[in-house]
Amino acid sequence: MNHEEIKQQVTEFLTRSLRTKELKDDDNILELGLVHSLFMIQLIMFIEKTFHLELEEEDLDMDNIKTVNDLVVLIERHQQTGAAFQ
Amino acid sequence: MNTPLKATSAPAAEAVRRFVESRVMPLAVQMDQEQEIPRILFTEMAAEGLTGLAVPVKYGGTAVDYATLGAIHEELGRGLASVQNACTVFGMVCKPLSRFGSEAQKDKWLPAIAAGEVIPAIAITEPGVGSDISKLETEAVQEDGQIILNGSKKYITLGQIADLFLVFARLNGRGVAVLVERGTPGLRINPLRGLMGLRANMLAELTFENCSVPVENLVGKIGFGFTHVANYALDEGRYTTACGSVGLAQACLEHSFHYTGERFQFGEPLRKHQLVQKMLSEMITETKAARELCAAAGRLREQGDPAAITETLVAKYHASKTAVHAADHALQLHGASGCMNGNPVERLYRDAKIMEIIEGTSQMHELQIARTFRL
Ligand SMILES: Cc1cc2nc3c(=O)[nH]c(=O)nc-3n(C[C@H](O)[C@H](O)[C@H](O)COP(=O)(O)OP(=O)(O)OC[C@H]3O[C@@H](n4cnc5c(N)ncnc54)[C@H](O)[C@@H]3O)c2cc1C
Repeated sequence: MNHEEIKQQVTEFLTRSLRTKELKDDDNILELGLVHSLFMIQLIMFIEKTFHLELEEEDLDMDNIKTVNDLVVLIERHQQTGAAFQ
Repeated sequence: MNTPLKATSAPAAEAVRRFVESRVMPLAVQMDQEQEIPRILFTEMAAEGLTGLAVPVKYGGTAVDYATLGAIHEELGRGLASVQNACTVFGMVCKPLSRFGSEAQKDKWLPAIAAGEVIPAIAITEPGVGSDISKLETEAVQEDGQIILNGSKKYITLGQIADLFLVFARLNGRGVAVLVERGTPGLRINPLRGLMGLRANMLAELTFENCSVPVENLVGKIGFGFTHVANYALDEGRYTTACGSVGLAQACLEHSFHYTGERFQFGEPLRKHQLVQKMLSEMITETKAARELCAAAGRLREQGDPAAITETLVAKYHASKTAVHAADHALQLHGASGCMNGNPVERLYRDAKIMEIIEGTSQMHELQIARTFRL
């Protein structure tokens, strides 16, 4: 999946999970008060199943994944690490 | 009376049905009245793979897919809700432990739990805090490589016999999940007897007084306790409780179907009276609907669709209410005979109500469903 496809998937997931109509790449979902109590487990499910990645504990800190861009960076970093192992 | 869920997962669910009919149902009255599941049954459940349903194969578990898991819990719920809920607790500990536990924790505990050697329990609820888990008061302090716990937990399923507790507490205001072994100094366990339903679940109250465990016993990072670990556990528990509730409703239906065929009033079997047919029809329809909601949630869970979490809430909400309604009808249809202690529908009636309370009450489900739909 290329950069744009990942971004599209992430944006789609976030708008669906957070039930918001629009989300810009740098909108801070914490500051917008959109995060609900089940968000984190939805996010884990989404990333692990969609991108076939196993996230590390450090990845799951809300402070590091507040925007679409943060999540795209996280996913791409994992994909690169995964590729390096192959 | 076979279930559509079984079509995709016949072998495992069939084996569980045989196990339930030969080993659980014959002991159901005894377990309910003596308020315990015999230890030997856990060993037998382990041999059937039932204690490792949420344990990855790598750690000796069976890690079944969600359709199979649902079908198995339906069979267990059809047999005895206490046994079904015990398996739910195994899942609620093993699922987050597999996801957030360290390698050392997983190596040490998961194979032993799957083998039935270690019985786990999950300790969230406190005397003063039930539904509002973000307000938990049990306190954890980190000091010299140790986590020191103070506080108490109540209504902990399997607490009387558990070897390992997954305990939720607050450390500097942030949620943590900690593994505490039975026998740890400072942990006191008081049995809670006389429960209305799920009587064989061996509930206990736990008291922690300067109960100290190594910092390595933290499951997940500090701050992950409620948002990650507890939610992960509760989500899993809601799914299996929903499926167990379908099994309970199915049992109500089967008992009612047979009884109303055998019992004659006004010169014909009860089943031939239209008002009785109405009750049976409602039970059939609602049970089928609940089963389909569970199947839909199971499919989404298997796909990793984030909608799975909400669908699971909806399934648990509906299925537990279905169980209560079905048990109410079943008792009504059995008349006085159903009110006698030892009659299965009397137990089903008591057990069903608990399904509306555990893993989040119906009201918490209503609020959460409303919130996710931004009502
Ligand atoms: C058989 C059994 C086994 C259990 N096993 C475990 C276990 O293994 N581990 C564990 O941690 N806990 C366990 N529990 C506890 C269970 O999770 C709690 O009972 C449940 O979460 C509800 O908490 P509560 O009983 O304190 O009720 P409360 O939270 O005090 O609620 C009481 C009533 O008020 C309603 N209510 C509360 N807040 C609101 C609101 N904002 N709006 C509308 N209504 C509201 C509730 O829906 C409920 O009807 C078990 C309970 C039982 C009965």
